[in-house]
Amino acid sequence: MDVLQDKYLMKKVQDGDLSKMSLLYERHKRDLFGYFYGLTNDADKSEDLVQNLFYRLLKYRHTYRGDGKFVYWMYSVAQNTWRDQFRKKKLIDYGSDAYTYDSLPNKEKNAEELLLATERKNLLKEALQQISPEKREAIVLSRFQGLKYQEIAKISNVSENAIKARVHRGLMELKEIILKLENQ
Amino acid sequence: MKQQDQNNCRIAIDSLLKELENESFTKEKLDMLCHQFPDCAENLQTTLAMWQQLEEVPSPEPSPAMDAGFYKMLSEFTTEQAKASKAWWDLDWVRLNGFNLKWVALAGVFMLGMASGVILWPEKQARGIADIEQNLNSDQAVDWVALTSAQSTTERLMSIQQIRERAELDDQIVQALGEVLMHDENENVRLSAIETMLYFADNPKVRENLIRAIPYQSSPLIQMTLAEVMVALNDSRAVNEIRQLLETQQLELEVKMKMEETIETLL
Repeated sequence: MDVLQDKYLMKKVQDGDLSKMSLLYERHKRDLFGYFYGLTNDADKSEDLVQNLFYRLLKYRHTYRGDGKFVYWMYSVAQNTWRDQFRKKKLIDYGSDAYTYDSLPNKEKNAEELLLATERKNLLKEALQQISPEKREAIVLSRFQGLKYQEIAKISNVSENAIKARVHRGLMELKEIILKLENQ
Repeated sequence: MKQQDQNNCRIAIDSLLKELENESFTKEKLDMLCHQFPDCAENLQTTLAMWQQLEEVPSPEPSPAMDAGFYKMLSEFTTEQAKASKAWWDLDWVRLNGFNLKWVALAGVFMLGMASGVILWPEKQARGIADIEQNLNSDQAVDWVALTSAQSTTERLMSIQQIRERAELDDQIVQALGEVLMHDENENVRLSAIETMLYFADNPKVRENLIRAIPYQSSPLIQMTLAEVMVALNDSRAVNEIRQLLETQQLELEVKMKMEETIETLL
Protein backbone atom coordinates (compact mmCIF):
# COMPACT_ATOMS: atom_id res chain seq x y z
CA MET A 1 0.00 0.00 0.00
CA ASP A 2 3.04 2.22 -0.39
CA VAL A 3 1.36 4.05 -3.24
CA LEU A 4 -1.15 5.51 -0.81
CA GLN A 5 1.43 6.93 1.55
CA ASP A 6 2.09 10.66 1.67
CA LYS A 7 5.76 10.05 0.99
CA TYR A 8 5.04 8.16 -2.20
CA LEU A 9 2.59 10.79 -3.43
CA MET A 10 5.09 13.53 -2.73
CA LYS A 11 7.76 11.57 -4.59
CA LYS A 12 5.43 11.43 -7.59
CA VAL A 13 4.93 15.19 -7.34
CA GLN A 14 8.70 15.62 -7.29
CA ASP A 15 8.96 13.43 -10.39
CA GLY A 16 6.61 15.73 -12.24
CA ASP A 17 3.16 14.26 -11.61
CA LEU A 18 1.83 17.44 -10.04
CA SER A 19 -1.75 16.18 -9.97
CA LYS A 20 -0.81 13.97 -7.02
CA MET A 21 -0.68 17.12 -4.94
CA SER A 22 -4.47 17.18 -5.08
CA LEU A 23 -4.56 13.89 -3.16
CA LEU A 24 -2.29 15.33 -0.50
CA TYR A 25 -4.47 18.43 -0.41
CA GLU A 26 -7.65 16.43 0.07
CA ARG A 27 -5.97 14.38 2.78
CA HIS A 28 -4.61 17.28 4.81
CA LYS A 29 -6.73 20.33 3.97
CA ARG A 30 -8.96 20.15 7.04
CA ASP A 31 -6.08 19.70 9.45
CA LEU A 32 -4.18 22.54 7.84
CA PHE A 33 -7.19 24.80 7.83
CA GLY A 34 -7.68 23.96 11.52
CA TYR A 35 -4.02 24.69 12.19
CA PHE A 36 -4.15 28.12 10.54
CA TYR A 37 -7.51 28.86 12.10
CA GLY A 38 -6.10 28.09 15.54
CA LEU A 39 -3.28 30.52 14.82
CA THR A 40 -5.24 33.33 13.18
CA ASN A 41 -8.84 32.95 14.35
CA ASP A 42 -9.87 34.02 10.86
CA ALA A 43 -11.49 31.60 8.41
CA ASP A 44 -10.82 33.63 5.23
CA LYS A 45 -7.18 34.17 6.06
CA SER A 46 -6.82 30.51 6.98
CA GLU A 47 -8.14 29.50 3.55
CA ASP A 48 -5.67 31.86 1.87
CA LEU A 49 -2.86 30.45 3.99
CA VAL A 50 -3.77 26.87 3.03
CA GLN A 51 -3.65 27.82 -0.64
CA ASN A 52 -0.41 29.72 -0.19
CA LEU A 53 1.06 26.71 1.61
CA PHE A 54 0.22 24.30 -1.21
CA TYR A 55 1.69 26.74 -3.71
CA ARG A 56 4.92 26.66 -1.69
CA LEU A 57 4.84 22.86 -1.44
CA LEU A 58 4.69 22.76 -5.23
CA LYS A 59 7.23 25.49 -5.76
CA TYR A 60 9.75 24.08 -3.29
CA ARG A 61 8.97 20.41 -3.93
CA HIS A 62 12.64 19.73 -4.62
CA THR A 63 13.49 20.48 -1.02
CA TYR A 64 11.51 17.50 0.29
CA ARG A 65 14.09 14.87 1.12
CA GLY A 66 11.73 12.07 2.07
CA ASP A 67 13.75 11.10 5.14
CA GLY A 68 11.04 11.89 7.65
CA LYS A 69 7.27 11.87 7.77
CA PHE A 70 5.74 14.02 5.05
CA VAL A 71 3.70 15.91 7.67
CA TYR A 72 6.89 17.12 9.38
CA TRP A 73 7.95 18.81 6.16
CA MET A 74 4.41 20.00 5.44
CA TYR A 75 4.01 21.61 8.86
CA SER A 76 7.47 23.15 8.74
CA VAL A 77 6.51 24.83 5.46
CA ALA A 78 3.14 25.74 7.02
CA GLN A 79 4.98 27.36 9.93
CA ASN A 80 7.07 29.42 7.56
CA THR A 81 4.02 30.38 5.51
CA TRP A 82 2.29 31.66 8.60
CA ARG A 83 5.37 33.36 10.03
CA ASP A 84 6.03 35.17 6.75
CA GLN A 85 2.47 36.45 6.68
CA PHE A 86 2.64 37.28 10.36
CA ARG A 87 5.81 39.28 9.86
CA LYS A 88 4.46 41.13 6.84
CA LYS A 89 1.15 42.08 8.29
CA LYS A 90 0.33 41.36 11.90
CA LEU A 91 -2.13 38.63 11.19
CA ILE A 92 -3.44 38.45 14.72
CA ASP A 93 -6.98 39.61 14.61
CA TYR A 94 -8.42 39.54 18.04
CA GLY A 95 -11.68 37.73 17.78
CA SER A 96 -12.37 38.60 14.16
CA ASP A 97 -14.50 35.51 13.81
CA ALA A 98 -15.42 35.40 17.45
CA TYR A 99 -19.09 35.92 16.85
CA THR A 100 -19.36 34.18 13.50
CA TYR A 101 -19.39 30.66 14.70
CA ASP A 102 -20.54 30.78 18.28
CA SER A 103 -23.43 33.14 18.45
CA LEU A 104 -26.27 30.97 17.20
CA PRO A 105 -28.43 30.07 20.19
CA ASN A 106 -29.85 26.61 20.68
CA LYS A 107 -33.41 27.03 21.89
CA GLU A 108 -33.39 23.72 23.70
CA LYS A 109 -30.77 24.88 26.18
CA ASN A 110 -30.98 27.46 28.85
CA ALA A 111 -30.34 30.83 27.21
CA GLU A 112 -28.22 32.18 30.04
CA GLU A 113 -26.12 29.05 30.17
CA LEU A 114 -25.53 29.27 26.42
CA LEU A 115 -24.62 32.90 26.65
CA LEU A 116 -22.04 32.13 29.31
CA ALA A 117 -20.65 29.24 27.32
CA THR A 118 -20.38 31.39 24.21
CA GLU A 119 -18.70 34.14 26.17
CA ARG A 120 -16.23 31.66 27.63
CA LYS A 121 -15.37 30.27 24.19
CA ASN A 122 -14.88 33.74 22.80
CA LEU A 123 -12.66 34.72 25.72
CA LEU A 124 -10.62 31.60 25.18
CA LYS A 125 -10.22 32.30 21.46
CA GLU A 126 -9.24 35.87 22.19
CA ALA A 127 -6.76 34.80 24.85
CA LEU A 128 -5.23 32.26 22.48
CA GLN A 129 -4.51 35.08 20.04
CA GLN A 130 -2.73 37.04 22.74
CA ILE A 131 -0.05 34.54 23.72
CA SER A 132 3.24 34.54 21.84
CA PRO A 133 3.29 32.94 18.35
CA GLU A 134 5.69 30.18 19.46
CA LYS A 135 3.54 29.16 22.40
CA ARG A 136 0.38 29.35 20.29
CA GLU A 137 1.94 27.15 17.62
CA ALA A 138 2.97 24.58 20.21
CA ILE A 139 -0.51 24.52 21.75
CA VAL A 140 -2.33 24.39 18.40
CA LEU A 141 -0.14 21.56 17.11
CA SER A 142 -0.34 19.49 20.28
CA ARG A 143 -3.89 20.17 21.38
CA PHE A 144 -5.77 20.61 18.10
CA GLN A 145 -3.63 18.75 15.58
CA GLY A 146 -2.79 15.92 17.96
CA LEU A 147 0.94 15.91 17.23
CA LYS A 148 3.41 14.55 19.75
CA TYR A 149 5.86 16.94 21.42
CA GLN A 150 8.71 15.11 19.72
CA GLU A 151 7.08 15.63 16.33
CA ILE A 152 6.49 19.32 17.01
CA ALA A 153 10.11 19.61 18.11
CA LYS A 154 11.26 18.18 14.76
CA ILE A 155 9.00 20.53 12.83
CA SER A 156 10.08 23.55 14.88
CA ASN A 157 13.72 22.55 15.03
CA VAL A 158 13.94 22.84 18.81
CA SER A 159 14.17 20.32 21.66
CA GLU A 160 11.22 18.34 22.98
CA ASN A 161 11.69 19.99 26.37
CA ALA A 162 11.42 23.41 24.76
CA ILE A 163 8.08 22.42 23.21
CA LYS A 164 6.79 21.10 26.54
CA ALA A 165 7.85 24.32 28.21
CA ARG A 166 6.05 26.35 25.53
CA VAL A 167 2.86 24.35 25.97
CA HIS A 168 2.98 24.63 29.74
CA ARG A 169 3.81 28.33 29.84
CA GLY A 170 1.26 28.98 27.13
CA LEU A 171 -1.47 27.30 29.16
CA MET A 172 -0.52 29.28 32.27
CA GLU A 173 -0.53 32.51 30.28
CA LEU A 174 -3.91 31.66 28.83
CA LYS A 175 -5.34 31.49 32.31
CA GLU A 176 -3.90 34.86 33.28
CA ILE A 177 -5.13 36.52 30.09
CA ILE A 178 -8.61 35.08 30.52
CA LEU A 179 -8.73 36.42 34.09
CA LYS A 180 -7.69 39.85 32.85
CA LEU A 181 -10.26 39.79 30.05
CA GLU A 182 -13.00 38.72 32.46
CA ASN A 183 -12.23 41.65 34.72
CA GLN A 184 -12.28 44.22 31.94
CA MET B 1 15.18 24.31 48.87
CA LYS B 2 13.32 26.54 46.44
CA GLN B 3 15.37 25.09 43.56
CA GLN B 4 14.37 21.62 44.74
CA ASP B 5 10.68 22.60 44.68
CA GLN B 6 11.01 23.96 41.17
CA ASN B 7 12.65 20.75 39.99
CA ASN B 8 9.91 18.68 41.57
CA CYS B 9 7.28 20.83 39.98
CA ARG B 10 8.95 20.42 36.59
CA ILE B 11 8.85 16.65 37.03
CA ALA B 12 5.17 16.80 37.97
CA ILE B 13 4.26 19.03 35.02
CA ASP B 14 6.24 16.81 32.64
CA SER B 15 4.31 13.79 33.86
CA LEU B 16 1.03 15.56 33.39
CA LEU B 17 1.94 16.76 29.89
CA LYS B 18 3.00 13.26 28.94
CA GLU B 19 -0.35 11.89 30.11
CA LEU B 20 -2.18 14.58 28.16
CA GLU B 21 -0.13 13.89 25.06
CA ASN B 22 -1.05 10.21 25.19
CA GLU B 23 -4.66 10.99 26.00
CA SER B 24 -4.33 8.54 28.86
CA PHE B 25 -5.20 11.04 31.53
CA THR B 26 -7.58 10.20 34.39
CA LYS B 27 -8.76 12.18 37.39
CA GLU B 28 -7.03 9.66 39.66
CA LYS B 29 -3.70 10.40 38.03
CA LEU B 30 -4.09 14.12 38.75
CA ASP B 31 -4.99 13.40 42.37
CA MET B 32 -1.97 11.16 42.61
CA LEU B 33 0.34 13.83 41.18
CA CYS B 34 -1.12 16.51 43.46
CA HIS B 35 -0.62 14.23 46.44
CA GLN B 36 2.93 13.44 45.41
CA PHE B 37 3.82 17.08 44.66
CA PRO B 38 1.62 19.19 46.96
CA ASP B 39 3.53 22.43 46.28
CA CYS B 40 2.75 22.03 42.63
CA ALA B 41 -0.93 21.13 42.96
CA GLU B 42 -2.28 24.51 41.85
CA ASN B 43 0.01 24.61 38.84
CA LEU B 44 -1.05 21.10 37.84
CA GLN B 45 -4.73 21.88 38.20
CA THR B 46 -4.44 25.08 36.15
CA THR B 47 -2.52 23.31 33.38
CA LEU B 48 -5.11 20.58 33.18
CA ALA B 49 -8.07 22.98 33.35
CA MET B 50 -6.76 25.09 30.46
CA TRP B 51 -5.91 22.02 28.39
CA GLN B 52 -9.44 20.71 28.86
CA GLN B 53 -11.01 24.10 28.27
CA LEU B 54 -9.30 24.32 24.88
CA GLU B 55 -11.58 21.48 23.82
CA GLU B 56 -14.32 24.09 23.63
CA VAL B 57 -12.58 26.17 20.97
CA PRO B 58 -14.62 25.50 17.84
CA SER B 59 -12.98 24.76 14.53
CA PRO B 60 -15.08 25.67 11.50
CA GLU B 61 -14.92 23.79 8.23
CA PRO B 62 -13.24 25.38 5.22
CA SER B 63 -15.59 26.69 2.55
CA PRO B 64 -15.91 25.28 -1.01
CA ALA B 65 -14.05 28.42 -2.17
CA MET B 66 -10.85 26.99 -0.70
CA ASP B 67 -11.14 23.92 -2.94
CA ALA B 68 -11.87 26.09 -5.96
CA GLY B 69 -8.83 28.25 -5.19
CA PHE B 70 -6.55 25.26 -4.74
CA TYR B 71 -7.57 23.54 -7.97
CA LYS B 72 -7.25 26.78 -9.92
CA MET B 73 -3.76 27.33 -8.50
CA LEU B 74 -2.78 23.72 -9.25
CA SER B 75 -4.03 24.00 -12.80
CA GLU B 76 -2.17 27.27 -13.40
CA PHE B 77 0.98 25.92 -11.82
CA THR B 78 0.84 22.78 -13.96
CA THR B 79 0.31 24.83 -17.13
CA GLU B 80 3.21 27.10 -16.22
CA GLN B 81 5.44 24.07 -15.65
CA ALA B 82 4.51 22.60 -19.00
CA LYS B 83 5.42 25.86 -20.70
CA ALA B 84 8.76 26.30 -19.01
CA SER B 85 11.55 24.23 -20.42
CA LYS B 86 12.96 21.53 -18.19
CA ALA B 87 16.43 22.99 -18.46
CA TRP B 88 15.26 26.17 -16.87
CA TRP B 89 13.80 24.36 -13.91
CA ASP B 90 16.93 22.30 -13.47
CA LEU B 91 18.89 25.53 -13.27
CA ASP B 92 16.70 26.60 -10.38
CA TRP B 93 18.68 24.60 -7.87
CA VAL B 94 22.11 24.69 -9.44
CA ARG B 95 24.95 26.32 -7.63
CA LEU B 96 27.83 27.51 -9.72
CA ASN B 97 30.99 28.28 -7.82
CA GLY B 98 28.86 28.75 -4.72
CA PHE B 99 26.54 31.18 -6.51
CA ASN B 100 22.92 30.21 -5.95
CA LEU B 101 20.98 30.59 -9.16
CA LYS B 102 17.61 29.98 -7.55
CA TRP B 103 16.29 33.49 -7.84
CA VAL B 104 17.85 34.08 -11.24
CA ALA B 105 16.17 30.96 -12.58
CA LEU B 106 12.80 31.72 -11.02
CA ALA B 107 12.83 35.25 -12.31
CA GLY B 108 13.96 33.90 -15.69
CA VAL B 109 11.06 31.47 -15.89
CA PHE B 110 8.70 34.23 -14.91
CA MET B 111 10.14 36.50 -17.58
CA LEU B 112 9.75 33.71 -20.15
CA GLY B 113 6.05 33.54 -19.30
CA MET B 114 5.72 37.29 -19.53
CA ALA B 115 7.59 37.44 -22.82
CA SER B 116 5.31 34.85 -24.38
CA GLY B 117 2.30 36.85 -23.21
CA VAL B 118 3.64 40.08 -24.61
CA ILE B 119 4.63 38.47 -27.91
CA LEU B 120 1.19 36.98 -28.28
CA TRP B 121 -0.52 40.18 -27.39
CA PRO B 122 -0.81 41.72 -30.88
CA GLU B 123 -2.50 38.52 -32.03
CA LYS B 124 -4.97 38.86 -29.23
CA GLN B 125 -5.65 42.42 -30.26
CA ALA B 126 -6.35 41.24 -33.76
CA ARG B 127 -9.01 38.82 -32.66
CA GLY B 128 -11.31 41.62 -31.67
CA ILE B 129 -10.47 44.54 -29.46
CA ALA B 130 -13.82 46.08 -30.18
CA ASP B 131 -15.69 43.11 -28.72
CA ILE B 132 -13.52 43.00 -25.64
CA GLU B 133 -13.91 46.72 -25.05
CA GLN B 134 -17.65 46.52 -25.34
CA ASN B 135 -17.83 43.71 -22.82
CA LEU B 136 -15.36 45.00 -20.32
CA ASN B 137 -15.51 48.75 -20.04
CA SER B 138 -18.56 48.62 -17.79
CA ASP B 139 -16.65 46.34 -15.41
CA GLN B 140 -13.75 48.72 -14.80
CA ALA B 141 -15.13 50.03 -11.52
CA VAL B 142 -15.82 46.52 -10.29
CA ASP B 143 -12.26 45.44 -11.11
CA TRP B 144 -10.79 48.37 -9.25
CA VAL B 145 -12.75 47.49 -6.11
CA ALA B 146 -11.80 43.81 -6.38
CA LEU B 147 -8.14 44.66 -6.89
CA THR B 148 -7.81 46.96 -3.96
CA SER B 149 -10.14 45.49 -1.39
CA ALA B 150 -10.80 41.79 -2.07
CA GLN B 151 -9.93 39.82 1.05
CA SER B 152 -9.16 36.61 -0.76
CA THR B 153 -5.93 36.10 -2.70
CA THR B 154 -7.82 34.11 -5.33
CA GLU B 155 -10.20 36.99 -5.97
CA ARG B 156 -7.33 39.43 -6.35
CA LEU B 157 -5.47 37.06 -8.68
CA MET B 158 -8.58 36.57 -10.79
CA SER B 159 -9.19 40.32 -11.01
CA ILE B 160 -5.62 40.90 -12.15
CA GLN B 161 -5.86 38.20 -14.77
CA GLN B 162 -9.12 39.64 -16.11
CA ILE B 163 -7.45 42.99 -16.65
CA ARG B 164 -5.16 41.38 -19.25
CA GLU B 165 -8.18 41.00 -21.51
CA ARG B 166 -8.57 44.75 -21.79
CA ALA B 167 -7.52 46.72 -24.83
CA GLU B 168 -6.28 49.56 -22.66
CA LEU B 169 -6.33 50.66 -19.05
CA ASP B 170 -7.88 53.72 -17.45
CA ASP B 171 -5.85 55.68 -14.88
CA GLN B 172 -7.74 54.20 -11.95
CA ILE B 173 -6.79 50.64 -12.89
CA VAL B 174 -3.19 51.67 -13.61
CA GLN B 175 -3.01 53.20 -10.15
CA ALA B 176 -4.63 50.16 -8.52
CA LEU B 177 -2.14 47.80 -10.18
CA GLY B 178 0.69 49.99 -8.93
CA GLU B 179 -0.73 49.89 -5.40
CA VAL B 180 -1.05 46.11 -5.57
CA LEU B 181 2.56 45.76 -6.70
CA MET B 182 3.79 47.96 -3.89
CA HIS B 183 1.62 46.82 -1.02
CA ASP B 184 -0.17 43.51 -1.59
CA GLU B 185 0.88 41.06 1.11
CA ASN B 186 0.82 38.09 -1.28
CA GLU B 187 3.84 37.42 -3.48
CA ASN B 188 1.78 35.60 -6.13
CA VAL B 189 -0.53 38.57 -6.45
CA ARG B 190 2.42 40.94 -6.84
CA LEU B 191 3.99 38.67 -9.47
CA SER B 192 0.71 38.53 -11.33
CA ALA B 193 0.49 42.33 -11.19
CA ILE B 194 3.94 42.63 -12.80
CA GLU B 195 2.94 40.22 -15.52
CA THR B 196 -0.23 42.17 -16.24
CA MET B 197 1.58 45.51 -16.16
CA LEU B 198 4.00 44.21 -18.74
CA TYR B 199 1.06 43.59 -21.07
CA PHE B 200 0.52 47.35 -20.95
CA ALA B 201 4.13 48.43 -20.82
CA ASP B 202 3.58 50.84 -23.69
CA ASN B 203 1.60 52.99 -21.25
CA PRO B 204 4.11 55.44 -19.63
CA LYS B 205 2.20 55.48 -16.32
CA VAL B 206 2.43 51.71 -16.08
CA ARG B 207 6.19 51.86 -16.61
CA GLU B 208 6.48 54.59 -13.97
CA ASN B 209 4.59 52.41 -11.49
CA LEU B 210 6.84 49.44 -12.20
CA ILE B 211 9.87 51.61 -11.45
CA ARG B 212 8.34 53.25 -8.40
CA ALA B 213 7.59 49.81 -6.89
CA ILE B 214 11.21 48.63 -6.90
CA PRO B 215 12.31 49.97 -3.47
CA TYR B 216 9.17 48.56 -1.82
CA GLN B 217 9.97 44.93 -2.61
CA SER B 218 11.29 42.59 0.05
CA SER B 219 10.85 39.32 -1.84
CA PRO B 220 14.01 38.22 -3.71
CA LEU B 221 11.90 36.73 -6.49
CA ILE B 222 10.06 40.01 -7.09
CA GLN B 223 13.31 41.98 -6.85
CA MET B 224 14.94 39.77 -9.47
CA THR B 225 11.87 39.85 -11.69
CA LEU B 226 11.67 43.64 -11.61
CA ALA B 227 15.37 43.84 -12.46
CA GLU B 228 14.75 41.60 -15.48
CA VAL B 229 11.76 43.75 -16.46
CA MET B 230 13.84 46.92 -16.33
CA VAL B 231 16.51 45.38 -18.53
CA ALA B 232 13.83 44.18 -20.95
CA LEU B 233 12.28 47.65 -21.06
CA ASN B 234 15.74 49.23 -21.13
CA ASP B 235 14.45 51.98 -18.86
CA SER B 236 17.38 53.81 -17.31
CA ARG B 237 15.09 55.79 -15.00
CA ALA B 238 15.00 52.69 -12.79
CA VAL B 239 18.62 53.17 -11.76
CA ASN B 240 17.75 55.52 -8.89
CA GLU B 241 15.14 53.14 -7.48
CA ILE B 242 17.49 50.17 -7.75
CA ARG B 243 20.17 52.14 -5.92
CA GLN B 244 17.61 53.02 -3.27
CA LEU B 245 16.77 49.32 -2.88
CA LEU B 246 20.47 48.51 -2.53
CA GLU B 247 20.89 51.17 0.13
CA THR B 248 17.80 50.48 2.20
CA GLN B 249 17.59 46.69 2.28
CA GLN B 250 19.83 43.80 3.24
CA LEU B 251 19.63 41.93 -0.06
CA GLU B 252 20.62 38.33 -0.65
CA LEU B 253 24.03 38.12 -2.31
CA GLU B 254 22.75 36.95 -5.68
CA VAL B 255 20.03 39.62 -5.68
CA LYS B 256 22.57 42.29 -4.82
CA MET B 257 24.82 41.17 -7.65
CA LYS B 258 21.90 41.11 -10.06
CA MET B 259 20.94 44.66 -9.09
CA GLU B 260 24.45 45.94 -9.60
CA GLU B 261 24.62 44.19 -12.94
CA THR B 262 21.25 45.73 -13.92
CA ILE B 263 22.49 49.23 -13.08
CA GLU B 264 25.52 48.67 -15.28
CA THR B 265 23.33 47.45 -18.15
CA LEU B 266 20.94 50.38 -17.87
CA LEU B 267 23.55 53.12 -17.65
